[in-house]
Amino acid sequence: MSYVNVQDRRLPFALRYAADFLSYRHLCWNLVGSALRARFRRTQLGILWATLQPLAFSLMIATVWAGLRNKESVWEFAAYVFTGTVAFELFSTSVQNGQDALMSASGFIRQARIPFLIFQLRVVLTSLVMFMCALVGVLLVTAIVTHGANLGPALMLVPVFMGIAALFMLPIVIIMSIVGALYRDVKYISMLGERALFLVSPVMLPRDVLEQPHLQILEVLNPLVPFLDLFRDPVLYGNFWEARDVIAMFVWIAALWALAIFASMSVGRKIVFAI
Amino acid sequence: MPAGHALVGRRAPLAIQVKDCVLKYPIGAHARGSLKSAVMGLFGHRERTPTAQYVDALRGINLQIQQGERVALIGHNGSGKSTLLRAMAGVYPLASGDIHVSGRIGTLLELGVGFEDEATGRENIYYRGMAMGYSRKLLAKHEREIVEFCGLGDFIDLPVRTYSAGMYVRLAFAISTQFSPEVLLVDEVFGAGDAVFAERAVQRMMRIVNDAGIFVLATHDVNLVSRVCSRAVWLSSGHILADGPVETVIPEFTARMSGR
Repeated sequence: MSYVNVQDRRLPFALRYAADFLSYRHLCWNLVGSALRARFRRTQLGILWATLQPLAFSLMIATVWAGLRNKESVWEFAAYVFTGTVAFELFSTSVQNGQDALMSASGFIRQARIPFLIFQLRVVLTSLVMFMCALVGVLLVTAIVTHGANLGPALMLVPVFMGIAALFMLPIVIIMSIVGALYRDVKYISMLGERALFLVSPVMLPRDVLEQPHLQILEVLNPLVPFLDLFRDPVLYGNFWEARDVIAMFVWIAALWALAIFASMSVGRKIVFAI
Repeated sequence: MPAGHALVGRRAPLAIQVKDCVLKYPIGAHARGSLKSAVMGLFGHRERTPTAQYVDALRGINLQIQQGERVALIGHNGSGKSTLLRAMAGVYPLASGDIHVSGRIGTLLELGVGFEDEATGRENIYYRGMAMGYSRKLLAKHEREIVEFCGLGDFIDLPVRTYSAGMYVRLAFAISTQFSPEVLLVDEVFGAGDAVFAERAVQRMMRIVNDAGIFVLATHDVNLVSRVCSRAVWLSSGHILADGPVETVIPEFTARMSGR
């Protein structure tokens, strides 16, 4: 069985796919804008909520935490939680919205032979735009808390981090979009998984806790550990990255891409019947 | 320039070839599968009673459409018209058989795709246009023409959530038909709108049909078919019952339908 547009047949598959993808790039940008507009429409503060929400959450957590552990500084811990929350949000919004990436685009998918990657990339780009808005607040808060100690050359790594984040999240979104379309229960399971991941990741959990020998397994099996380290090192501490975090991150990225490509090739366009 | 197939220069004559095309549409739980079965399947478990449920939407369709032909797909509901159209567009994968299309495809399958209810009609020209793969620059060039054609007056700057169904269709139709593809696949787009607009829509469709190398329309409207198309393909339960000039197939189809 085959479907071939004869005029495209002379191009290899990868080039054909790239050409199709490029021809629909306007749609991708438009969907990103549309998702952002829908999210903040009729709100007074608009996209400022991208910063305010995690900041307020961090202050609440830090206040409670400081009350429990008297010696902790509220502000330093708030900055720690804030950076962790913003990076975790980047991951969790991608996972949650990724599950609906294809289903919410069913109108488009049933209209024309549009590459699915357009709709999957849309989720990642939307999360990254939100992240960039939150980043302004993060840099401001961390500069105040650290008295400017974090404002150094290591901040040049932030754009690189965003590239790595895109490489990390896109395969997750691809996998979640396929699994989410095929199995509707996954939405609830992933929500539980995400909460568990939040608790065992150094979002509000102090980083040194995971270095205890009996908890090191959580560090090895959790991709968010290097992910959060790569964000906090330059943004909160003004440090360059450690090699072990970079290597761990790229191992996770390679594994996730292999899984995403396998999942995409396994279901192909047949997934259109499930959405 | 419309999406999809823009990289290729001018070449072979436009054509659609459908050969032994079988399309099975999975329905119910099997379309999605069960999470339990998927997990158990990893350990070699197989369901004792397979729950596969398919609708044989297309059963061995053979069809050739050449450059310049204006083809109507007719048949009662569930006959496979829209499914065949979507298979030609490459939207639905085939269970077996082949479809070869030579030409840049444009589809008019669902008018409202890409619309944002909270945005104005004018903004939606861009949103819908970009959903069809057109650039903002190209759409800006055609904005005035689209606004004039849909004839919404000042309503064009109001949110589309305030539009009536007819206004909605007028705007969607105006945007969707602004650019002429080489192969145009259309699914029942004349279902709404007032009589005056319907006539203008038909006029525009005729212009597009003349510009397009191949035109395929899935519809129940035999009057429209007689007006716009030169060939009719009558589908029933995924088979082709008749294929020939409109003057031959439509009377037969109408007689059968009225005799049902």
